[in-house]
Order: sequence, then structure tokens, then C-alpha cells
Amino acid sequence: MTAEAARNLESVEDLEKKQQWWWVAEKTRSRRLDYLRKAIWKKGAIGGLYNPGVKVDLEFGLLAMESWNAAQVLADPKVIQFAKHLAHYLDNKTIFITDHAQLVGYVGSLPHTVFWDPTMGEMLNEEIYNDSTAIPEPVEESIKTVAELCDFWAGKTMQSEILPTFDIEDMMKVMSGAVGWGLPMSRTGYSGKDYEYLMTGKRAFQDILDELNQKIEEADYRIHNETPTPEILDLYDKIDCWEAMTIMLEAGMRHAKRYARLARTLAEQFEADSTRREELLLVAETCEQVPAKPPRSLQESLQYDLFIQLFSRTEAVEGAWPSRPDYYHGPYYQKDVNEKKRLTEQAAIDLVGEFLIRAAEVGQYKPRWTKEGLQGIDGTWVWTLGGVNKDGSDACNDLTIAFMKAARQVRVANPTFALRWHPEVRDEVMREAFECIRHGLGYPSIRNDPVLIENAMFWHGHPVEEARTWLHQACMSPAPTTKHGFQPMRMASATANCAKIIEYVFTRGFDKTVNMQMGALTDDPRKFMDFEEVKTAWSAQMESIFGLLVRVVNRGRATAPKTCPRPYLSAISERSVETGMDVCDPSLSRGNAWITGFTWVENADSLAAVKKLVFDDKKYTMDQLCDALEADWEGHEAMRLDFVNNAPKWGNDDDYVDDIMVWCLRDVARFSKEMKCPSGNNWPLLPENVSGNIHYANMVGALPNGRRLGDALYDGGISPGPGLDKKGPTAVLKSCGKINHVEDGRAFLLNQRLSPSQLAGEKGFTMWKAYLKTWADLGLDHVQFNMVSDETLRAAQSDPEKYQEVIVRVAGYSAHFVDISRKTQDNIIQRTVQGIG
Amino acid sequence: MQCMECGFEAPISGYRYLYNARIDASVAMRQCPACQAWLAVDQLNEKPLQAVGPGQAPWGKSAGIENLAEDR
Amino acid sequence: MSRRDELRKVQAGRLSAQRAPKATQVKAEKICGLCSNYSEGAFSGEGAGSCRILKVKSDISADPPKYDLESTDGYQTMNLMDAGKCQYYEKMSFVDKDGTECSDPRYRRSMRQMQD
Repeated sequence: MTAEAARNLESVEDLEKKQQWWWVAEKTRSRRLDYLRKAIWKKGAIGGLYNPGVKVDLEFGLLAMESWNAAQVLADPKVIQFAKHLAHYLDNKTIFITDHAQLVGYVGSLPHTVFWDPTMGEMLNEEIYNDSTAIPEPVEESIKTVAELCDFWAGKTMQSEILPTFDIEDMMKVMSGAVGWGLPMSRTGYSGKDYEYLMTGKRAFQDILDELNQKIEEADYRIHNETPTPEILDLYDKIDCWEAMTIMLEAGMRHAKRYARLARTLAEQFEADSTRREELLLVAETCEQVPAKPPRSLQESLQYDLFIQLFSRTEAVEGAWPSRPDYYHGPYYQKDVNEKKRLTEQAAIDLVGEFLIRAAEVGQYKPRWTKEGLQGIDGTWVWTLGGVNKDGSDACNDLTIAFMKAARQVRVANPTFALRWHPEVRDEVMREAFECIRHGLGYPSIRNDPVLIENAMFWHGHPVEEARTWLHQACMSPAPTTKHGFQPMRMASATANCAKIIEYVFTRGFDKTVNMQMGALTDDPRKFMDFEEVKTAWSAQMESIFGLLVRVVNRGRATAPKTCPRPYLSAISERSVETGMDVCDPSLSRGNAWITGFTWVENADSLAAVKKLVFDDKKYTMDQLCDALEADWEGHEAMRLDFVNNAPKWGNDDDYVDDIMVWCLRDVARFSKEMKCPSGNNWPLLPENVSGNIHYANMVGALPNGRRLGDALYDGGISPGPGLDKKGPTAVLKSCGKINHVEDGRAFLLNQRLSPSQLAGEKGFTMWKAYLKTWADLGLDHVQFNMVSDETLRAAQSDPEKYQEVIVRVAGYSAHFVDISRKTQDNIIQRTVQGIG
Repeated sequence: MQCMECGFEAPISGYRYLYNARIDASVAMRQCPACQAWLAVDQLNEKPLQAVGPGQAPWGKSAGIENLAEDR
Repeated sequence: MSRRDELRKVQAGRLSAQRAPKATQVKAEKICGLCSNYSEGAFSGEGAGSCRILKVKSDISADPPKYDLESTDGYQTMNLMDAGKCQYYEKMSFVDKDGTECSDPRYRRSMRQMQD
């Protein structure tokens, strides 16, 4: 008997006992969900390569070349020309409807492709030309097409346009990739959305279009009828901006109609099955309604949201998917399932599950640094559940629960959820969250809502009612969904490889990986006489790195409206519709900037080791330490072990090192209030990692915490070093509780591994809740859990085919274990499994 | 140091350093440049301990029941 | 030459390499990417990197090549750059062509043109 046949004979109960949740899901989900789940292609990369079979999509490039050539005869303003490119694509791209699907739309032309927009930049184009696996069949012919597209767009891309606008030295440092992450463009990064404008059922595309046309008419009238004064000068640009918005909305509506037509044609001319025929007709009806008009049902609401996201991903390469789906789709669930009973609960879960699947299949070609830093996923689709309403009352609803039930059935690694916990969240909701974690999904992460609302008010001055709308703009950072509170583009360039701060203290700012003077030229560390001098150098390097990244992003944000406008995102944002200004214009935004701090904790552990072994115990001199670090600890193994094992480590409730951690954060917080974004607001730090700890492992040299060049960095945020948190989970929480989670930074990621067998059953739920109570009492803002045993993970390493569906929490996101690199896998296994209770 | 898979001999630095098995122990992964096998190496004594295939690494950092780190 | 001028020259070189016609690219026999002194950059999918021996004012494509060993910043070069005339060229004995692990600037050369 084959293993598969044997498994088919096993009952759900047996599989549950063995905690083989992926087989439980397969046996319990509907046939439709089973088909749809298996029909998608994984778009995340393993290390720097896409999965076999995933190919780069050439269609956008070819269509863009066509519309560019056509545009040369027209003297359109840039923003209109860009909108026309996008519209041409939406009007002509290949569309398809997957069998059994009730929701439609994909960013590329075929399900196995990753979208590529060659107008973005030469660097990305070059990488695609160099890609060893993703060039589509027939390869030789496709390489020629890729070469043709690269050559055509060379010198005409957005990258070419923006680079000269930056300071040359700053840009060279950023482009080295040693300390930052990505280019500061408004078409790559994390786009928040004005959901309060768009998703409350009050308006849809046609309503906005009517308003825009009226605005254009009024402005046009003023230009031609008012006495000419400087006051009408800005109306010319505004009209262009409004006109570009109308082009995008009209194209979006036409695109939906193409799906309606396809669904109707399939139903009327090809589909033999009567049930499926009815479904296709409903798909057609849905696409005739949305996004033109506001949704009337759960299916229409989900389809509306999907179109909004896909259009945005045509306009930009979005690395995140900020969403609060239970809050905005909840009223439709309530109406369809509970009031009018048009849908059964299972039918609704099928729709919700399909919505997760449609999001999971989205893929846009990402450069290697993103592929490596976000292994296993296309971007951080961290969807926010729960939380409170604007008046502070509990916002959890039946759809909150349905999303978590659906997640256990479809088991996608992306999107994941983050639950806004607050004291009024019902036990039933917490139970669902616990079940997701116990089933090994690694999500939802748990966020402390009261702390984060206070934090949003403290750092960015969001009014309380707006702060309460917050969702995750990327993995971790809260952002409101309101007119002036939402952030249209968070440029990933303000992502700091923080381990470089302590590294540069010992290299005087010179980076040995990229062979460049990157940081400040601080004093010779061999001559440091006391720990205060180390701290002074650390501060200088911190300011140098953070200052560089903030300067570059500020410049990018300030120039974005001119260099890379976002006509579609503007069209769905109240502030742009109202003013006729690009959505990224900083004057329209309150500001919600943050610096993501990758590889942060190494700083505290390294500083503590220097203080203890060099200045307190005087066991080593700074000279000896500098020699050892320069040699990458080679030939100094005994000394290296001393620096690991005989110096206090973060996460053990030891004030010696915990005080240093708090000092570092408060020093950054001081600087965060001195730096300002183009909207005039603060730049707080947010320590978290995604898989940047692996991406940067070969770029960060030896450190005093005992790591060598090549070793995985810690797994991020404020999580202790893997295996170094030796005093149990309460000690970890107590260390983290010494940080002020409102005033010391924007948010702080904490990874924890728990035992799946210890937390089985009702007792496990009780223990977990008690753990969360301690977490909440200590005022932490985040925690996320891995609950998969070492045994399962090792088995998955040796027999990956059999464990394709095992999911792990990496950091800020989840991934299928087989979809991450070996080093990342080992790093997860290295994390301490904590016993609680 | 001699590779236990192919017999290649070189000083420890002649083996490509990959990453540590755990930061607080003297065990690291190195790669033989001749046969490209992954070896777990005792860094202090400069001796290969074992060839390491997927799922066979001596990782993990635990104590107590089911390899848990208990509160203390 | 001021540091800004030096950097501007480096960036111009890098951008022109990115804009070189792909359709006519020919891989040289000795390329920087196969030299043990070359280190890939973090954005190295496009092929950019730097030399740990030569400094910023070097130019190995000049005739004769120009070697700067004194400046602070390293010579910025490209993986596929012709290094045929460079006297500091040291062929790597071990090249990792597996792209499923993360960047290892010292060893990894996983781009299509580097595959056998």
C-alpha cells in the first residue's frame, strides 16, 4: 500500500492525534477549496531562486512597449502617459478564470507567472536577464525577448529618472545594499490604502469618477473664465492628475467587465454543468457590479477588494498587503449569513478561503535582495483581524472567526493574520486564534491593541479615533486607514541592517563586504579606555546609518509625486480626489514613517560582552578583541566561546544586558524625534527581521557576541538569540517588558517557539491564555509563535516531498518550511522551544 | 583536517565556512571544496565530526521535557 | 578628484553597464565574477560587486590598466566584467552556483551566465 493510500484510510481523529494538521485540512475542506488550493503556484523564492516552473511574465513589458511607442506621437503629460500605459495593459492583458473559482483576477497573464514591469528599473531588468531559472519556455527565444525589453527600456525607466535626483554619495551607499534595503521609489514598497474612503460601502469607482469629472470641469472653467492670477497656476497640474485618475478608474471598470464577459461566455457557451453555469453567471454579475458600484454581498465585497489590490499591483510592485478584512467585509457576512441567510457558514468559509488563495497566488518578480529577505513568500500580506471600532468597542465579528477557520482549511503561508488583542476580545475568538497556532500556521501573531493605539498617538500624533482604525502596513507597523493617517508608500529603503552599527564601531565605519566607507569615521577602537567610549562610537554609527536611510527616503518621498506618480492609488484616496495632488505628496499626509530595524539584538549582546569581558572583568584588551574580530574569530575559538557563554545575553531577565538594550533603544528614540519625515513627523525604530537575518548573514562580519561572518543573525525584533534564552519564557517576557513599548519605538517583534504536545487540548489553551496574560500585563506589543516540533522539522528536511505543507513562522511572516533555504530552516530549528505553565 | 567523505586534506581554513550549528558551541558547518560535502566540524580541535545531510544536523537547544527550556 | 566626483564616475560606470545592449553581450574568458578578490554586492542579481584589492580610482579596462591601491573605497566592478588584463586576478578554485541559498558574496555566482 502506498503512503498516500494508507493516509486516505486514516481518520481525521487519528491525523489530529498525530498533529498532522495539513492532512486534516485536506480531508476536511470542501472539494472546491481543495481544488483551488492545489491549483495555485507558489510564488515565493527559496534563497534567491523561484520554485521550479514559476516563470517571469513578459506580457506587461511587450504591451508597455507598444503603448510607449504609440505615446510618442502624443504630447501627454507624464502622469497621463503613465496612466495610459497601465490602462492599455488592463485592456489587453490575458485573463483567465480557474475552474471552480468564484473570485477572479490575477496580476500576471497566466497562473504560473510572476509579473514584471520593465519600466521600473534597469537593475531589476538586468537581474531578470541574468536569472537562471525563471525565463519562460522556449528559453532561447524568451532570452531574446527579455534582452529586447531590457534594451528598449534602458535609460527610460523610473530608476533612471530618480537616481540623478539623489545625493551621489548617499545613493552609492544605499545601492551597495550593505545597510539598507531597496530603492526609494513610490512604486516599490508598501502601499497603505484609504479604506475608510473606499471600503465602507458609501462609494465605488463610478461615484469617484463622477466626482473627478466634476472637479475637472470646475477647474477648467476657472482657468478659462477667471482673471489670470498665480492662484490658478496649480490647476493645470491638478487637472492632469485628476484626468490620470479617471483613466485608471475607467480602465479598472473595463477590466472587470472583461471578466464579466468571459464568465458569461463560459457559462452560456461552454459549461455543461448546471451548478457551475450558475456560479459563472454569478461571477459575471459580480464583475458587472464591482468595482464600478458598491458591493451588495460578501462575494461582491471580496471581489471588489481583490480588484482594488490587483490594480494597485499593476501600478506598483507592492511588498505588502495592508488589510483589515473582517472589519470591512464583516457587514456583508453579517447580512448574507446571519440576516438574509443567502449563504451557509460553510459557503461563506469557502468564499473567504478562496479569497486567501487568490491573495496567496499573487506574484511579482522581486530582486534577489527581496527574494532572500522574504523567502517563501511574495510579500508580507499580514492581514489585521479584531481590534476595536472607532468608539473603542470590540470590533471582532463572525467574519473574524470565519477567516481563522478558513485559514486552517486552506493553510496558505501568505496572507497571514495578526490579531489585535484587547481585554474585551471574546474567548471564542481567542480560541480560534489558538487553534490556528496549534495547527502550526504560525499565525495569527498577537498584537496588544491598547499599547499600539497609544503608541500611534505618541509617535505620530494620530487622533484616537483614527489610531483605532490601524492595520499592519507591512509585517508589523500599525497605520491608520484614514484620509490623512494612511501612508501611501512606505519605501523599504528605510530598513536598517542594524548589526552594522556595532560592526562599524570596530571597523571605524568601513564595510569590508562592499569595500566602502559606509559609516562614520569614529575613533580607533583599540584605544578605547572605557565603555563610555564604545557607547559614543555606537551612537555615532547609529546616527550615521539611520541618518543616511532617512535622508534618502525623505528625498524619495519629496520627489515622488513628480518622478513616479501613482494615479491609481491617488484615485482611490480621498485626499487626492479632493485636492488633485498625487497621493504621495507629503503635504497631504500626517506622516507615519518608521525605520525597520533588521538584526537589532546583536547590538545589545555585543555591547554587553565588550563591557563584561573587556572593561569589567578585564579578561581581554580591546586590542585582542579587534584582532579576533578582524580574523573573523579564526584562531580565537576559545575566546569566541568566552564572549558567547560568559557574557550576559538578552532574554534572560538579566539587568546587566537588559539595561544596555534599553539604553540603545532610548538613544535611537532620541534621534527618532530629531529626524523628521517630509510631512514633519517622527521616525521611530521598529525592530523586526523577516528573513533579513539570513540575507545579511554573509554581509555582516564577526561581532563581539560571538558570531562569525556567515552565521545566521538572530531571528529578529527583540527576540533573544536562538538558544541563548536559557531561563524560560517568563524571563524572556520580563526582559522584553523592560522596554517601554509606547515610547521606546514603534513596535517590537518577539518570536517564541512552543511545544505542540505540551499545548495540546483544553489544558494547552488555558496555559497559552495564562502566558498571554503575563505578556499583556508586561505591556509587550507583539508576540508570535511557532508550534511545530524539531522532529517534524528535521523530518521535513530529510523528506521534503512528504512535508510540503508544513508551515513555520519565520519572522513577521509565515512560510512553508520546504520553501525556505537550508540555513533559514536550521535557524528556525535552533530557536529554543519554551515550556510554559 | 581530512574530509571524511572524500579524503581531501587541508587546514581548517581551506574548508568553506558555512555557519554555526549553534552559536554557543564549538561546532560549525563547513564545506569540503573538493567533494562539496557539508561537514560538522569541531572548531576548537579542528576535527570533522560528521558529514551532515538534510535533517541530520546536531541543532536544537533545549532541556527538560520534550526538549523544552523550562522556567526557572 | 573629489570623493563626489569619484563616486559619480563609479555610478556612471555602473549605470552604463546596466544600459549596455543585452542582445550583444559576450562573456569574456576571465571575468571579475570568477576572481577570488571579487565580492558580490547585496543587490547582486544585476551583477554589481567590488574588489577587495583594487581601490576606487582603478580602471582595469584601460590600456594599460590603472591600479589604485591607496584610496579608501573599493573598486566597483561587475560580475561579468572582462578582467583579462588585471594583474591582481586570482581565479577562484571553488565557486558555488546554487541559487537556493542566500547571498554569499565570497563564493556564490548563481546567475544564468555563470552556469555551465
